[in-house]
Amino acid sequence: MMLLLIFGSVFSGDSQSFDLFIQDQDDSELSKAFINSLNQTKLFNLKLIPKNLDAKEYSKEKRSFFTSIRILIIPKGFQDNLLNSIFSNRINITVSTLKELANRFQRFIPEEQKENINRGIESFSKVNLGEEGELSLIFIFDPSDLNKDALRGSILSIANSFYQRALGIEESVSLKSEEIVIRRLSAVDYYLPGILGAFIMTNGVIGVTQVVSEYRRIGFIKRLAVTPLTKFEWILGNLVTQTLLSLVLAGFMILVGLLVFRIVALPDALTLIILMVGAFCFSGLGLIFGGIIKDVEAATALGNAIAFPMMFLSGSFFPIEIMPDIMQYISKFMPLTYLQLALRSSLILKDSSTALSNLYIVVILALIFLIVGTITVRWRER
Amino acid sequence: MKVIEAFNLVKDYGSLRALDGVSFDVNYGEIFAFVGPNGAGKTTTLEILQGLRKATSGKARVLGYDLNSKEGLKNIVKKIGVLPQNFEALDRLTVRENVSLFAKMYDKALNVDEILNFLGLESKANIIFHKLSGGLKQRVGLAISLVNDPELLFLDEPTTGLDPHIRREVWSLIKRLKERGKTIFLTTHYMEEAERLADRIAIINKGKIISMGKLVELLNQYKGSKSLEDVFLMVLGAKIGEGGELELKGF
Ligand SMILES: Nc1ncnc2c1ncn2[C@@H]1O[C@H](COP(=O)(O)OP(=O)(O)OP(=O)(O)O)[C@@H](O)[C@H]1O
Ligand SMILES: [Mg+2]
Repeated sequence: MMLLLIFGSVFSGDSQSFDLFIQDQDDSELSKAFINSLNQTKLFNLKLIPKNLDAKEYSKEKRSFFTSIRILIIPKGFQDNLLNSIFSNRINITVSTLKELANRFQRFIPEEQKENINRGIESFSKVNLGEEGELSLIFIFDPSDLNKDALRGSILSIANSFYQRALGIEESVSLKSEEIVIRRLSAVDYYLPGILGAFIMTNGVIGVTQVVSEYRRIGFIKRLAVTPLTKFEWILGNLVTQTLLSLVLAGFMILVGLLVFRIVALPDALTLIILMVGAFCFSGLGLIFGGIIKDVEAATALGNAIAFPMMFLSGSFFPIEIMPDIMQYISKFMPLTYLQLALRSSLILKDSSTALSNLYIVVILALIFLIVGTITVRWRER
Repeated sequence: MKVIEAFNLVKDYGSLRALDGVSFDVNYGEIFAFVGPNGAGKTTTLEILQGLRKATSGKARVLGYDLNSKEGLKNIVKKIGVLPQNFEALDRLTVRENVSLFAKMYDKALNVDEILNFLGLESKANIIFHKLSGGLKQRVGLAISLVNDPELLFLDEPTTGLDPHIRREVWSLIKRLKERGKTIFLTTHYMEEAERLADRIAIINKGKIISMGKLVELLNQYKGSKSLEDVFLMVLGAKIGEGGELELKGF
C-alpha cells in the first residue's frame, strides 16, 4: 500500500528538473544560444560556473544537498568549430554538386578538360578550414549518479536538435563523458552504499525492534531490572552488540560483493566508521520502538512500516531528485538519507569532506536516539 | 529479625485497586507463602517488594533497606534472587550461558558449575534453553535466581504448569534452599504447595489478606477445617455472608 503510494507519486509525471552546472568556456553567441535551448527544455536547473574557475571544485561547493555533481562544459572554440562545420558542410555540398554535374554532363565535356575539372574539384574539397571541426561537449558526472545515463542521452539529443534547428546541418555531436573519480569501478560498486545503508537501517529498525519487544514480552527486561545491572548499561550493551552484529553482517555482504561481483570500492577507515555510527544510530531507533511497544507483532509491523518507505525515500535505490518536491522534503527527515550520502561519498566518490558532513548528522541522530531510547525504555515502573 | 516488613500497601492500576491495604512481615529463614486465585495481587506485591513497581501508598522495607531510596534499592537488588512468574531465559543460549550471563551482573557471584550441580542441571549445561522441558526451564530459572547467593528469594508461582512429579522435585529443591538458610517468599495457587512448604501462609484475595498465620493456627482458627482448602472456602464463605462476591477461578 505504502509502496504503491510512493511509486504512484514518483511516476505520476510531476515533472522534476535536474541540477546541471554549466561552464561556458567559449562565451560566444552560439554557446549562449545552446544554453538557452537547454534551458527551454525545462529539464534542467542550470547553474552557470564562471569561466575562469575550476568547474569540479566549484560544483562541489555549490551543489545542493541531495544532488550529484553534473557539469557540462562548452569548450573554447565551440562556435568556431560549429561555423567551420557549416562551411565544410557547404563545401561538401558544392563539391558533390560539381561532381554530380561533371558526371551527368561528361558526354559533353571534352576528354582533355575532364582531367582539369576533376583536379579542380579535388583541390576545392581540400580547402583547408583550419582544424577539422569536431563538435564536442564535455559532460562530467558522478559515476554513482543514478540519473547519469538518462541525462547524458538527453543532453546529446538536445544538442543534436539544436544544431539541426539553428544551423540546418545534420552533423552529429559527440558528448565526451568524464567521470569525476578516476577509479575503475564496476557497476555493482555503485549499488553498494545503497545496499549497505538499507541493510543497516533494516537491521536496526526491524531486527532490534523485534528483539527488544520480545525481551519485554517474555519479561526478560524485568528480570534484568532486579539485578544490579543499570538501565543505561543494558541499553549501551545492547547497542554495542547490535552494532557489532550489523558490522559483521555488513562485512559479510562486502565479502560476497568482493568474491561474487568483484566489487572494487573497498571500505576504508572512514567508511568503517560511517558503517559503525550508522549501525549504532539505527539500533538506537529500533531500541526506541521496541521499548515502547510490547506486542512483538505490532513492533514488527511498525518496523516494516517505517523501514520500507525510508528505503525508498532516502535515495538508496531511487534518486531523490526525480521525486516530487514533497517527497524530496520528506527525505530530508529520513536518517537513512544521511547515512546513504555519507557512505556514497566515502565509498564511491572518495569525497571525505561530504562524507564527514553527513556523518556528523548521523552522529547527532545516534546520540538523540540513545538519549530518547534511555528515556522511553521502561526498566522499572516507578 | 524481619526480612520483609510491609505496611498497608495499596496499588492502583488506573481505576483498578489491585492491592488494598496489605500488611505482613516475613521472618528470617522462613518460607512465607502467598496463596490466592488469579488476579488476587500476588505478583503485584512481589514486584513492589523487588522495586519493579511503586506502591500507590504504604510502606515497605526489604532486608532492612527502604524501597523508596535509590541507595536502598541498590543494596536490595544485590541481595535478592527472583524467579518471575512464567520465567523465560534467552532461547538461543545454553543453560550454562544463561546462568553465566546473570552471574556476570554481580560483583560477587557463586561458581556457575556449583549452582548447576546443586540443581541437577550439570548434564543439561550445554543444551539450548529453548529445547528444555517446562520443569527444566523452571530449574534454570531457579539457578539464575541463586547466582548471587541471595539472602532472600522471591519465587512467583514456581510450580504452576508443571507435572505433579516434577512439582515435587521443585518442592524438595525449595526445602533444600531453606536448609541453606535462605528466606523464601513464594506465591502459589496450589493449597497443597503452601501446606507442604510454608512456615507461614497468607491467604490473599482481591488485593486483601484475608487470613494469615501458621497452618496449625489457621486450622485452629477455623473450627472443623481439615486442610488449607477448607480454611480457604470457609474464609470466602464468611465473605459471601457479608455480601461479597465469590470468585474462585484458577482453583
Ligand atoms: N500492569 C498492569 N496494569 C493494569 N492492571 C494490572 C497490571 N498488572 C496486574 N494488573 C491487574 O491487577 C490485578 C492483580 O494482578 P496480579 O498480577 O498481581 O495478580 P496475581 O495474584 O499475580 O494473579 P495470577 O495468579 O494470575 O498471577 C489483576 O486484576 C490484574 O489484572
Ligand atoms: Mg501473578
